[in-house]
Amino acid sequence: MTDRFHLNRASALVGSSLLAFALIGCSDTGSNFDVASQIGPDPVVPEPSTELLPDLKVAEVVGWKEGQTPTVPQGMTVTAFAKDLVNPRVVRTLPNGDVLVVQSRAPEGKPLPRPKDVIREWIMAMAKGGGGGPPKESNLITLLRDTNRDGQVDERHELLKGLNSPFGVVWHEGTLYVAAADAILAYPYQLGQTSITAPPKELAPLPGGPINHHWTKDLAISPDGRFLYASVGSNSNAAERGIEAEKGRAAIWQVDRATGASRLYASGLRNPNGLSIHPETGVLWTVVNERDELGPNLVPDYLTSVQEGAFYGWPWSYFGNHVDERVHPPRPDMVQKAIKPDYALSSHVAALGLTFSMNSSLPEQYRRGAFIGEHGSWNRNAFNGYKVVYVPFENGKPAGKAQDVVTGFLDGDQARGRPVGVAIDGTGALLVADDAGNAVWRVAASNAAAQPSQ
Amino acid sequence: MPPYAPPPRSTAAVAGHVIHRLLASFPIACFTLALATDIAYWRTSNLMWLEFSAWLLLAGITFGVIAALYGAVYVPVRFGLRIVRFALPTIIGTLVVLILAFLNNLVHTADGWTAVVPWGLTLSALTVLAMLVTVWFGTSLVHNHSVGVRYHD
Repeated sequence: MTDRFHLNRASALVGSSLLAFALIGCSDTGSNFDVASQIGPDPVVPEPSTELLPDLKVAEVVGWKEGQTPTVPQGMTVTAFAKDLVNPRVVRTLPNGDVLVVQSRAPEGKPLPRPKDVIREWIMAMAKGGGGGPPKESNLITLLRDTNRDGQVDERHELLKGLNSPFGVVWHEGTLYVAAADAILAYPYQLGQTSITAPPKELAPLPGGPINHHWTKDLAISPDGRFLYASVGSNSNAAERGIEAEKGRAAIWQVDRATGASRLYASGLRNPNGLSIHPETGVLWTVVNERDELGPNLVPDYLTSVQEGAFYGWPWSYFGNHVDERVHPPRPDMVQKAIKPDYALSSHVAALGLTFSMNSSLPEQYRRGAFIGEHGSWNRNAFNGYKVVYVPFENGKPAGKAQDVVTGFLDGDQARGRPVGVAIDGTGALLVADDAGNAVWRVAASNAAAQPSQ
Repeated sequence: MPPYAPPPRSTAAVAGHVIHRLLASFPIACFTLALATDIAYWRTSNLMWLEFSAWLLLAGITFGVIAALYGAVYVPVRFGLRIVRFALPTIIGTLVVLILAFLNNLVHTADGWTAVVPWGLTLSALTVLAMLVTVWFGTSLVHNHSVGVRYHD
């Protein structure tokens, strides 16, 4: 009798735990969501789905075999501009046509406060591969010179080595500015020099470690040359390391080039990269990586002009006033302040590179917009990104759907490479840094006679 | 009449059962403390408490699974399969606790408030409740069926 009573109690408990499972588990949003509906100024923003286990699908990196290249549309040709680089992330063309390739690895020693962080680091490290043997030296800047403008590199020099996870780089009037993981460094550098021996001056510190979760700091220079803009990503996905860890982060800083005086220029930008000045309007633009773990179709990454003093929502809200319930206590005042970005690129594409194409010698239909390097998704069961897209512009604003330009980085569930930074080279062709494939790809018009830089 | 009575012989079957008790005390302490740290996070929004909860739940389920596996091997070997009939409520209770704790571990991976409110906290409370009932079943095995006691058969 007592045993039967026990059994009834026990089965009631099993029942209640199954009920709890059902209630939490009802998170499937369906796989027929149209990714294209999240590209443009007014993306579809679905309700968040509570994932019991966050989607985690990273492509295993297998690299490019001899002769393999990414794919480009008809009318263009893709070639390897440089290979055997070590995690190239940013390409920047100097006024004399020399190309700088910034290669870097994430700073080490980030504290991992939860079991989840430990497990995630382990899985991500597996996906990165790396094979056997000690890793090659990264954290350096290589200069590539195409002397005769035939689209092939004739000289290659290691300009700077032993940097602290560098990313952004800008040259202006005899000074090369490098954004390391914790500061903007200023090196005396004349165009044409193939080595730098002078020590740098620290122009301004930037928020750095020990967490430095989104560590890539990008740089741009204002059209009048007076200011540098520096992007600083957040220290967390959605402020889960505490809001005190986010001081000065998820923001773009404006730094006086002469004095180093710095101030916040715009904030609420979770992980901004690809800072670029629109050549016709002089307005600063950026691409931003938005937050994860709200479902496969949240939150769209975006391309936006950066308005002075504006707040773009992170961490309290996304794409305008959509509240993120994970951030507590809520801040309705901040949500109300948040402005909507200009152009969504769809969720989890990991947009990291941006360059305008007005000076390019690419086919006519690619000369009035922006190229965007999409590193590719992890928090999604179907891959998104892993390509370079083109967004046409009119009157200084995006006008029309993003089009795929450089694809073929994925091969089934494996990745040959992953695009990051983009730039226009001295001949007007598009350069794409591929940090997983350790290459820089050059995309030119098939019929283009090589042209000098404008 | 002898001047003193010889002390009664101990009836505790120390080695095997004490190991099980030691292992099982980890989930009992960890899941109970996780409920406390969940309540602390709910009341304060201080993310330190969420980090405590996540580690406590991981430690609790790790030792909980080890204790359950140990029990699944030790008890039938030591007391014969006959005991399974009496131990069934304990077995089911243990499974319920571990399933609830597993789900709770997953819920606690969320970033921030939704890791705890409402489902993390609910699961932590249900886990503790299921654990109390299971411990009661387990104790009745000792008292009513002499599991863990020498010379029981």
